[in-house]
Amino acid sequence: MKKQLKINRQLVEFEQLYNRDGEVSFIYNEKKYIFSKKAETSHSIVISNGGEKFFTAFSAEHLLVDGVDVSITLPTATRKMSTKSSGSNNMLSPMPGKILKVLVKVGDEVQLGDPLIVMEAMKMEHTIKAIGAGVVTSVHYFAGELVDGQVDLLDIQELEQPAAAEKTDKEKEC
Amino acid sequence: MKINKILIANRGEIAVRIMKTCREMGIKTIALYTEMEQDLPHTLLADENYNLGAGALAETYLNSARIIAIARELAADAIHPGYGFLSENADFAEAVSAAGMIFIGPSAASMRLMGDKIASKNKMAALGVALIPGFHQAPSQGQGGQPLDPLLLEKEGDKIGYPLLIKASAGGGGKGMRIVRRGSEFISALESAQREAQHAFGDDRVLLEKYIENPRHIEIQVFSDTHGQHFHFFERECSIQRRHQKVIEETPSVALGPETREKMAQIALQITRGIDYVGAGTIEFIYDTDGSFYFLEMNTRLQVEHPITEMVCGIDLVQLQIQVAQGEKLNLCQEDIQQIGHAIEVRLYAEDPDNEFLPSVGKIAYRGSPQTIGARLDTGLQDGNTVTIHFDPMLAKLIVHATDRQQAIAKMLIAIDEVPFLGVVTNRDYLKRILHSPPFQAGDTLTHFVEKYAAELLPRPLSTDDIAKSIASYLLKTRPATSVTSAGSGRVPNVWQQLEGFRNI
Repeated sequence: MKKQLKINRQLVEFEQLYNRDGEVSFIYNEKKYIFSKKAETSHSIVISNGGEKFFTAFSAEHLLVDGVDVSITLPTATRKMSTKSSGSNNMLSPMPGKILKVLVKVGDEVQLGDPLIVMEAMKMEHTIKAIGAGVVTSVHYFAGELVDGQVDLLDIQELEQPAAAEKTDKEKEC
Repeated sequence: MKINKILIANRGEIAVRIMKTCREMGIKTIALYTEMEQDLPHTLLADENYNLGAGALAETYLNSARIIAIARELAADAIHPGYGFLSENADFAEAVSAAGMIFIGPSAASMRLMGDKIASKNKMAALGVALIPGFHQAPSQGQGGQPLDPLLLEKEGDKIGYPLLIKASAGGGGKGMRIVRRGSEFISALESAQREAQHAFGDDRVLLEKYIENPRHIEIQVFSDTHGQHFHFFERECSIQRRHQKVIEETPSVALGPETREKMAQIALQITRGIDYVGAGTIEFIYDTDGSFYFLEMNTRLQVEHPITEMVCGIDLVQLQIQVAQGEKLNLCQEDIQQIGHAIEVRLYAEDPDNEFLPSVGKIAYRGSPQTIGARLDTGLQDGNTVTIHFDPMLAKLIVHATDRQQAIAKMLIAIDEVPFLGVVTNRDYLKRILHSPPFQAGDTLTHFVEKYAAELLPRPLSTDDIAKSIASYLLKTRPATSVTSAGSGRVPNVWQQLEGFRNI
């Protein structure tokens, strides 16, 4: 049975031969592996490959596999790609925090990379920058306000569809 | 006066750290906590605790009047400020004393002196302590007055020696800054720096400073009691920093030979004697490759990185703080204080080093504990706790002690795998990359290490073996549902993965 997993955001394909009674076998990269579970707690397992043993701790998609941090998701659970209607951008807060400064106002024209809002979270400042050229159509918060993560901070009507915006998205994935 | 009950005006790992010593000394503790910290270890470990509510820091951990009132109400004899928050606030120290309690720390006068950059440097100069050689144009000169003669500045530059740095007085952001490597380049560099400064700040005044090409940050732990005894507990090297925050500290420093170490320690003692210091303090120096070093500042509190000193010297610095606060004469002899072995501390942060060190939040599903002998985890978090944006992103300090540096590094690399802090994105792997890197292993620990060796600190792709083990782990771990397809539902919030439509810098 061919299976796929996303390991550290990289698609990995393997052929599972069996998985029963705490033992699993699969072919990956033209090599056959057999691993068996030696012990298990609610957040960890000890695994053996017949000779060496290693320790894995896990919590949802985050795993510590023999000392290496990995995130494992199913290929279907990929990051939500931008579903925004083209032509406008809602600028979302990346995390909960406090708005320190709003550097633009409604009607302002902004260029790619222009600083829009300065936020503070965990005692550090983060500048939110425009990902493309456009006109600010609304600003939803004032300086001093506390915001949650993923809330709409301001809206920008794009002047053109900038290729650079897509590039920025890709950069983030690296 | 014997202290029986201490209110800890702090939170997290340092509050827990102080409580541990209080327990050993039979002293009761009072913890402060806020609405969202009800399940944190520091809240639970204390003998009594007090809920500060849900306000901003100014109404909670920084509200000195309120904290003093709580301490009196709960009959505390003393207040320990930890580090950060009110620890270097001279007014707070005075108010605690005025309220009839003991402030566990130095005198308000020492805090004021060392908190003032100019006054402290003047005092150091008066004590004969070396400061970074430089020339500062007096405010009356230059703008408004006569601009200084370039030839006069050049003469000052020759006095300082080369390489030197020309900086705009109004400065910032590297504008109007020039490194001058030899005297013959001085005038042209000065003119261009002044032009740039005039353009950027409307002010062409400059200052000159010796340029330290490969600096290290080395500090001396000092301790003084109220009986005029002054001690030092050797150095800590804290050169490995990111965003000007320390990430790895160690002692002894590979850079210091016995003579320089002794010289630096004696200067530190000269300072504590010179200012009649009392309590725990740290004197920071900037150390140059040629063995010269200059006073940077003095921190009048317990440092974050104090555990490495405790491990190599075999002492409890919090205990000494409490003893000094009680007015005891420390039963120590400088000759008996020895550095034994090597200790390293790493700071685990909830942040993504591969995405500009942006902080992360989440719930800690599995923290882990070091099983390695000689490893110590100082943390204010346990399984099930939530890391929020409201406080510093430091999750824990992991400290190891071994016979030498090489073994300490090896031990750290084992211990760090025992504390994964699963559930938040951490800098754990990044710390391992530093520890593994040849320049760190060679002791090439300079303050710009992280920038200089950035290429060597990039994440490495997983090996085929890693991937196979990951697949096996994924398939063998007991899943909440039998179907593999349900596994994506338990995702831990990683705010930066959800980032859409903009980027952060």
